[in-house]
Amino acid sequence: MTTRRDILSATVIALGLGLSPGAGVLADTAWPEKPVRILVSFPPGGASDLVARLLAEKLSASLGQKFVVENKPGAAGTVAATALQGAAPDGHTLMLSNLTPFNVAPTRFPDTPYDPVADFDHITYIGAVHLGLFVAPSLEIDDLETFIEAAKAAPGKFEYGSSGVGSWGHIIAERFVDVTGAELFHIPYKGSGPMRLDFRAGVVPTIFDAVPQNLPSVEEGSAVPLAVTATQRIDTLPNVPTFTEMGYDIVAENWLGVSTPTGVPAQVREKLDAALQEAMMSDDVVAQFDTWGLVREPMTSAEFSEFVAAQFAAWKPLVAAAMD
Amino acid sequence: MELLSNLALGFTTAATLFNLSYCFVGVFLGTFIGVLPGVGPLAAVAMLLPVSFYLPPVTALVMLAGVYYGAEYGGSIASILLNIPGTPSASVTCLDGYPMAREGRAGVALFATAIASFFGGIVGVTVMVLLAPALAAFALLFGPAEYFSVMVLSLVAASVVSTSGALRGLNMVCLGILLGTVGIDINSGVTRFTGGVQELRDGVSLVVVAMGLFGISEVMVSARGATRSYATETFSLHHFLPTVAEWVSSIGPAIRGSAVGSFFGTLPGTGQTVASFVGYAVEKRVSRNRDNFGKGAIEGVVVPESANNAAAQTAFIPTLTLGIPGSTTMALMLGALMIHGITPGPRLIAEHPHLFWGLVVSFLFGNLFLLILNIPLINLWVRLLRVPHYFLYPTVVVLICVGVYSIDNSIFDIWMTLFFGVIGYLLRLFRFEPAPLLIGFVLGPMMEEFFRRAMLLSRGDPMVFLERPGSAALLGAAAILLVAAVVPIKSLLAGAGFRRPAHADEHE
Amino acid sequence: MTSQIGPLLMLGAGLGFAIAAVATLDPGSARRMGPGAFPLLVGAALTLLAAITLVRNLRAPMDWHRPDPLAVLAVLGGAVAFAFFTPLLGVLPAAVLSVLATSSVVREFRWPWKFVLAFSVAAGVWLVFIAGLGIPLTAIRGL
Repeated sequence: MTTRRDILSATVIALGLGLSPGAGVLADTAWPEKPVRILVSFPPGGASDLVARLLAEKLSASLGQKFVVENKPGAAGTVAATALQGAAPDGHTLMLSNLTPFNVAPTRFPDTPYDPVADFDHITYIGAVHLGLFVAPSLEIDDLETFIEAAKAAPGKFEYGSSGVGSWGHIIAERFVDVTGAELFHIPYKGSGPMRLDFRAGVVPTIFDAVPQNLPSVEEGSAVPLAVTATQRIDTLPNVPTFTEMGYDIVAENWLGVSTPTGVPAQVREKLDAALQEAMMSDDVVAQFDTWGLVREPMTSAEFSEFVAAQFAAWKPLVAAAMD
Repeated sequence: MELLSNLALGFTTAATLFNLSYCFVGVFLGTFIGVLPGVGPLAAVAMLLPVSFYLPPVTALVMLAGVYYGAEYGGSIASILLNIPGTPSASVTCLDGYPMAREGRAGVALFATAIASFFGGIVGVTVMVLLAPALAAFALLFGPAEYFSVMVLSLVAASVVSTSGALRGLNMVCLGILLGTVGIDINSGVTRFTGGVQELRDGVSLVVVAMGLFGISEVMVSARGATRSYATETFSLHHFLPTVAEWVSSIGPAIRGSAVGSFFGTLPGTGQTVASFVGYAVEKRVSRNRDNFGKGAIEGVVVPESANNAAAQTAFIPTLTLGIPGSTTMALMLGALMIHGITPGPRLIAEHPHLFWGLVVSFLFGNLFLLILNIPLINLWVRLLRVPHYFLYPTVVVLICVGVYSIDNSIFDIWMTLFFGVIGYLLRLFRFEPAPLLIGFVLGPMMEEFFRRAMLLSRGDPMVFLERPGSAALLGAAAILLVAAVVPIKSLLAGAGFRRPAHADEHE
Repeated sequence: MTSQIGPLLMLGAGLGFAIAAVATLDPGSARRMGPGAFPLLVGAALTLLAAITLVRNLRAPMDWHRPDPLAVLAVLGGAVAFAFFTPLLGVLPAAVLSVLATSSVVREFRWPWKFVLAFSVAAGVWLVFIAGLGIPLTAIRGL
């Protein structure tokens, strides 16, 4: 049944695309008057992509227009953000905004063509995942202090994996080296998947990686979490300390939100935010976000915009330190 | 006994009318989408992902998996009929499939493809049933050094495949590797060889290279070629059946191909492409019919098809049991599970046995559906060849353009396709074949990644590739394959053994 | 003599990549290889292989295929038409023009039939890619 409905609606979209007049903004309540694109800066299939797809389904149902996820991965997410910057500010192009293109890339690539704060309206904060330091059980280390001592005793002996040069794992690991004085040896990977495979196989003894995707390994006993980069302990790893709690100033979160280019009418922004807030309250989304380990916190659009600006400023020196 | 109860569980899960019908829908759509140039399994699975949200997880996975291996199969149809491979692994099928089509034996080639795919699929499923837990652990024995050596072996295999000689094949492999270095270097974040063009920062897309080298250049070669098409005059099924001799001579290749395929499928990220090339290269050495390889030998179709289908099935082992997708397509399948709150990982088989075994059993049905669906369709596909070439080729040009454009809505990609089309055409004129270039392009970036990672981990000591036994064995196999190809056995016997060129050492 | 062009092209490509790698990229050290190391190695390998191919080919030239300039021109024309007109007019008009361009070199193919083919291909593209697969393409710009 569902398939037939889906095919029907796809046909309706195809017709709708052809017929809707370009101009003619009616009353502000008219939005959305044609299918809305949600740009995602990751290839399909990952957790962030799924967040976008799940919300797209909810918004399609509540707002009566199809919300279509469009994956535009590449160049540290700047491909998608650049496309968003260039899109018409009419609320029909959104982006699942996140840490890398908005807080890391503009510092790392000076030729990034947009300003992450001034060129966008950051509408809704969705949630965040935190970074964890995991070691292999074969090291027989289960607390942070022992690990730091062991690493200090043999500078450069312990390799750590990150999901790439300039990834948040890499940046935070270099911060860790700076703050603790424990020298580690960087092995970059192309994404988290291959890194976790090598970690499991015992090729790299240590990884800095987002917490949720490592929870099955923690449960199984093939990864030992030493500390997380949150400001307070997280629900999914209640027995694992934060770095700050252990006396090291290392805080990082990979946030997710919804952003538009600047200039979208206020009524549209409010309607979008309201619809998103409602979607995120629904039971199945809450359950889904919980299984994915998304840590949430209520934020207004204004607070979220300030948050993005503050994050941008906070990451600037970290990125610079890691990349030289 | 446990095996039997697992299979029973699988059958009760998969053999419901509901799941069977979605399995059928999957393989049916997959076949047709796979035939379109430039639109591979990834696009097909991505399109159906939203539909899967509304389905129970088993059904969703069964359908998406069907699309995936259906599209792999569909890719070989375009390879045989038009010399335009839908997937990199299908570029091996072109080598003998297309010459067969030109001899008016497209029907036989398609029939052999259907049977070989079915056979490979069944062997892959059997391997999964018997060895899944053991094979999951197997992937963990492979470190960067071993992966690098697998790449070397595959690239040597790819160059041996070339009909104009292994030397020219090696040239093309190297060129492919170099093209693969264009874009951001993952180890340092530095941009390489882009000439400041923004669109090249993430490298050249595989579809662009494949459609240019094979598609566009093929149309340039054939557009005004024979006025008569290669189609046979009769369209009875009887006419598509291989001869008894061909049946007999295909048995060995099918078994060897499936074995090679099952093995390489379990290694994340290498999968079908490596399986097809290695299978073909091995067969080209051991077959009694080796002189006809590249000229329309049925074994040359049977081997890659059985290998890539076996690999398509066993590729699910690392994906599901380690939670590590070997390709973007596999990442999408994981996505389909995650949306239902199931996290693939080491405990998946234990926690969701009906899902795992249901999927495995659905492969049996899916492969059967593919067979039932495609034998009658051979007739239709072969008729396509009767379409006069001046109808066919303008259509193919548009299909390639739309296919490439639809990936990213990028006009730049079309220009790049055209560029590679011209390069491919020039190289073809001078007897350099595109297949080894394509595999160099696919595997080159991985090869560099593993090479550099292994060197990082050994702190700069290249002996690591010879000290680790697995790596050394694979490199040894590559060396043997290369020497066997470069030194003709006859000339060894005739005492003219010193024609072995210096580059044989290069890959050790 | 013409058949030497192939190995020479390869030689040029190998040298080109190797030189560009040395000139623009950091080779790094064995302990931590830079972005230039691998392209330099492979570029050098290709140069060597191409040189061997060239020498062999000088001794026993491999035959080469005669090009068909008209066919090349037709295919180029078709693809260029598509790439050029898609942003201006949309995918479907571009498809029509592409078919007309490609088929323009075939004499035995009458003009009315070329139009029939062109419009059928456009219809097919709409049916398969836009209606069937739901790929977000601009069918006809401005509509």
